[in-house]
Amino acid sequence: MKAKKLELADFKLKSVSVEFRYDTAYLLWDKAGALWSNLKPYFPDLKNIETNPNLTSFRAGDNYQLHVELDKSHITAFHTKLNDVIEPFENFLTTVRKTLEIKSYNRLGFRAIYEKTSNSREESFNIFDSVHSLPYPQGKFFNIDGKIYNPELSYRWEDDKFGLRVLINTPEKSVRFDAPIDIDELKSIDVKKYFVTVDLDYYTKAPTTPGQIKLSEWVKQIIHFINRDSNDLIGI
Amino acid sequence: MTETNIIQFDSYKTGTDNVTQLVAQIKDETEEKSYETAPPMDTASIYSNAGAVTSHISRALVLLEEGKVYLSNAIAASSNNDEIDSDNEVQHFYALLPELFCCRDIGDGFGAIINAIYNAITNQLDSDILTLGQLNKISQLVIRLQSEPFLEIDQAIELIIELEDTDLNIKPQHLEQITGILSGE
Repeated sequence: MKAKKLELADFKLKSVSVEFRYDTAYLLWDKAGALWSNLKPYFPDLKNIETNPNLTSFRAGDNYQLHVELDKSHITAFHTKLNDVIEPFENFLTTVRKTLEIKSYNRLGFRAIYEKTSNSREESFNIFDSVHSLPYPQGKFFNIDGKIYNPELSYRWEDDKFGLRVLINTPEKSVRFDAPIDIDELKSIDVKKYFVTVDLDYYTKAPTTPGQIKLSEWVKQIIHFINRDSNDLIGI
Repeated sequence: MTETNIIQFDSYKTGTDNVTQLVAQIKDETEEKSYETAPPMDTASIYSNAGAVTSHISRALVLLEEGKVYLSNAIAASSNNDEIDSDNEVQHFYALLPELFCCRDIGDGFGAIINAIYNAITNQLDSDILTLGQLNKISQLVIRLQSEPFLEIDQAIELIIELEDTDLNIKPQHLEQITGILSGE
């Protein structure tokens, strides 16, 4: 049975990221400490996750992951709303750009991942099928009289300046935690969860300079595109 | 990345036993390296829908385009020694500047340059028309703002110094009088 056709509003925003790529910024080797010191006023609860000469990775509270490499950086926000990330994202990009003296961006990308939980693989398939019906085979093939599970649709929508990569899939995730026996407050977890995700990645295809980019203005525009066009473009 | 084996039989044709085997690596033409060959992005296409969410950047780009046309006409007229036409076009451009200044929340660099151009023209037109060199420099600044409206203030200051080097006075009128009053002169 086909599920009712969904809209993006039926999905929950799981994460949103901005990534920017640039020519190799060797200053990272000299200024990694200064970089994260400069970021601390904007992200007071920074915690180092990983540090090596070519990569520094931090977490800020329960909401942000920040990642700076020699030739790209990104910030990801979880458990948030689109409009709430604009200022933190702008602060991150501006600080990295100024500290590492980045002169141009080879690529800018904005990615939003939405998800909807389902109760089973079959329900995930029905949700996916209601969004994008594909020509599924019927009968016995490879000696399997089977069903379709975990369908996936991926494509790029591009012109010479911008692109949008769309990915709709049905991941399954297992969470297992064996709690220590002697800690009453913790309980073991063994759950399997099913999802339908919509992954939108909007990016530039041509170089840009910092003078051309005000991230807050660009992100606000992308949010407008998502709200305006998602239901028509990706059939959702 | 997909690998394709290509076996070349040139040597076989000539009767030798050597067969040249070429392995061609066909890289997927993803967006990964598109920036290497793509021309630089034009700013107007980045903010083509900015008016839907915020008005100033869209409006500023429209005004700058309009201003660029007036300045181009002024330069052409000045090159033909037509001072009246040139001044006429400058007046049209000058009339755009207050509204451009209203868009100064785009950035400190933007506001500083617009302010400098406004003061420069105000001060110059009190006594004389703009020279060809001055018109060219103002036009360069407008084109630069069109391309990079979010210039940092230190970059803007360098450009304003270049404007001053064309013998334009970028200080606001009556500044000296005000500073004199404030210093008790």
